[in-house]
Amino acid sequence: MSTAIRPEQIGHPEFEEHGGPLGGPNMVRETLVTGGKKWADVNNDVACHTERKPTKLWWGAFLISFALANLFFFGLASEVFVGVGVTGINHPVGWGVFIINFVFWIGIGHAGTLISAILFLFRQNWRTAINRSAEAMTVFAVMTALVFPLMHTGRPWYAAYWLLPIPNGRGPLWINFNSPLLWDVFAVSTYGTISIVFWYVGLVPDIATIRDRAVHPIRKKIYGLMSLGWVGKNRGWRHYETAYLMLAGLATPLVLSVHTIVSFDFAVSVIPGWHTTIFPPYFVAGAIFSGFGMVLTLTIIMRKVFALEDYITVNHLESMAKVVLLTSFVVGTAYLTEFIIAYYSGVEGERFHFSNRLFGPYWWAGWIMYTCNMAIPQLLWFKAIRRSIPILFVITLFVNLGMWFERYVIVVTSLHRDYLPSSWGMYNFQFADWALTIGSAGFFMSLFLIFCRVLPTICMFEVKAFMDPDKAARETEV
Amino acid sequence: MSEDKSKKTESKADDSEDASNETSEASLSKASSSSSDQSSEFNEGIAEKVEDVVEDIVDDVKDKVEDVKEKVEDLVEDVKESLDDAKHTAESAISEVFGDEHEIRLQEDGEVKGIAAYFNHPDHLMYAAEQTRDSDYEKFDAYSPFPVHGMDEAMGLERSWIPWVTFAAGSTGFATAFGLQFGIMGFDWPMVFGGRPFIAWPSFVPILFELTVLFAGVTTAFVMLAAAGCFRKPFIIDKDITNDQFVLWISADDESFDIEDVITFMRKLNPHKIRAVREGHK
Repeated sequence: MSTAIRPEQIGHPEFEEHGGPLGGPNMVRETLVTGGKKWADVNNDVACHTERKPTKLWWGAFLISFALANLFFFGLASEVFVGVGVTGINHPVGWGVFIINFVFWIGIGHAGTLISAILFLFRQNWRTAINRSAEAMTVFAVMTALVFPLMHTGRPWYAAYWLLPIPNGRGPLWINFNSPLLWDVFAVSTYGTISIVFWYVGLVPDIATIRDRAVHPIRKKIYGLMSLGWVGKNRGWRHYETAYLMLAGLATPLVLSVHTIVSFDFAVSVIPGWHTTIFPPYFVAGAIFSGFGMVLTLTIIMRKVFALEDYITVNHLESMAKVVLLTSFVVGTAYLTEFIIAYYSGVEGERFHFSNRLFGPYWWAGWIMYTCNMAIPQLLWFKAIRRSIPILFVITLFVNLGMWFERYVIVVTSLHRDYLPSSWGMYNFQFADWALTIGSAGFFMSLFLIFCRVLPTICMFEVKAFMDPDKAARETEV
Repeated sequence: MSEDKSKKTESKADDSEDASNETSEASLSKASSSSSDQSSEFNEGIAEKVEDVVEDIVDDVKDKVEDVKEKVEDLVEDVKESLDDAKHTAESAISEVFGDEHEIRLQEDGEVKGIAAYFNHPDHLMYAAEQTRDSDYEKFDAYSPFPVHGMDEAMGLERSWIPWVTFAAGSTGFATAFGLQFGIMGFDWPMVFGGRPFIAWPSFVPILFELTVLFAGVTTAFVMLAAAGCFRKPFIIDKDITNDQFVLWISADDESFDIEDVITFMRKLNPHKIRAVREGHK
């Protein structure tokens, strides 16, 4: 047995040379929860943050986020009272900041559903530490996203008639079910609802835990109502587990359908840069890529601030980094395919568009997108980088930035120069655009920070289920 | 119950003590009266001798009675002590089951809802559930902080019927979307979009899928929660069930429920605690 630590040995504390069944090394992975925790410790470590006063760090973060959220509300108010022209929207770029941010935030949400549904079906047990915060992220990202299509109508109080099949006095003049924009309404609202349901179903047993820990009668009452009367009997658990499987099975095709349908908004049109059949898988992969980037950003901060290093270990972060690397490859392949198909198609508009993307007036946006999404994630090939938290954190910030610019490039660069040079134009960010973009991040973060304070950030019962009962059980008093 | 019993046995012991004293004194007085009748007919010398003899006998008898009395008293002490011991054992057994405030609890502050046996390890609970499944008790349940795999078989439960709900709700959603789109686009207000037919069914597929998922998901979640006993005031057996305790529960609603029998049954399962839970307990 050699004493030197080999690179592949990191993260596998039990290592035996020639101990494997075929003579190779036998490696046992680190347990999901480290630090010799017991089941009772899980409750204490996770739920305690909802039971004490917030720290100064939390207040600082919250005040900044809340200030930015107010900027968001200000931007929306100015857009409603003055008109959508307060943003840089014009002819030919009619879909500016609203659709960029809508697609960005919807994409962010996809990682949460992927972690809670698809990784559940694949029995990836490491998801248990991060699924709660990822699902919360999904819910808040979808909430943030939904603001944009609603508000970009300019008259949101009429939007219900334009978006939903509501009987009305105009004929009745119904909505057009042939339109991808309408599919989008159904897809996103279904996605939002199912995400909330999935998230809340996962929360119910953990809220019951907080209820049982509560001392103050009002607190007990509130969490008692929120827990819906969950008691943890097996005659309940058996339905619970089946229903969770059903929801995971439903959410898996749903999450793939949502960004597929979002991509139809673009792909069904005839604008160069939009009119491609590769869009659905390319958008879904991009959504998962950006979502995992955001999950990593949030969990790296969260595990530090709430001292959850034993639950969200470096192995968890490394697994997520591997997903980021994989999806970066899928996205990168799609990027290159677009160029090749544009060249190979021989269509002048397509060829012009893709050279315009790299060397036109918005060349910087294109290069930021390709650098952040294709080049920088290649660093994750190195195990040392995947396991280095500061470097990983910086990479995830680049991923977030790059994916925002991907949507910027798709919306703005495609629209600003189409087939007719006489109708070319430019799109410049105005104050309202900045307010809506930066403000939406503040709105999202405010919701997430409130979530961290009032609800358990880790799915306690699922984490407990994957701990070794021989070590985690309460010791019997003799 | 057992306290009353012990009191009764105590009083019985007192009675028997009194009775033994009475009988010994009665026999003594009988002996002395018969000797005085004889002394009136015979001469005084003989009478004195007889009296002496009788006195000796009386003294002997008295000594012996004293001895017997002492022995009886000792015995009574012993009985009392052993009774006290028995009482303590009974009390501790009761307090183990009913909690520290058993005396107040025994004076009825709510009916017993059921009896809970506490375990620390999920496998131990699984064993207990298997034993209960094979017993006469029908209304029992296994409480755990997280779902324990294999517990359904251990409790003898069949597969959950939730998938049927999902299927039914999904079909309803599909039918709704079908009716909505075909009805509106085909019959209520047919319009031509881009030269396509009125009913361009491929463009209805996304909403058919979305509404199927929406109906199925939301209904599954609500029906599951209702089936799991939510949406009503919970009866929380112990606050540690959501922490790290595993509890086997036999409900008082069970037809063959009898507190002592259930406790005896549960003792065989070797839990670290057995507790009778009353309505409104804290």
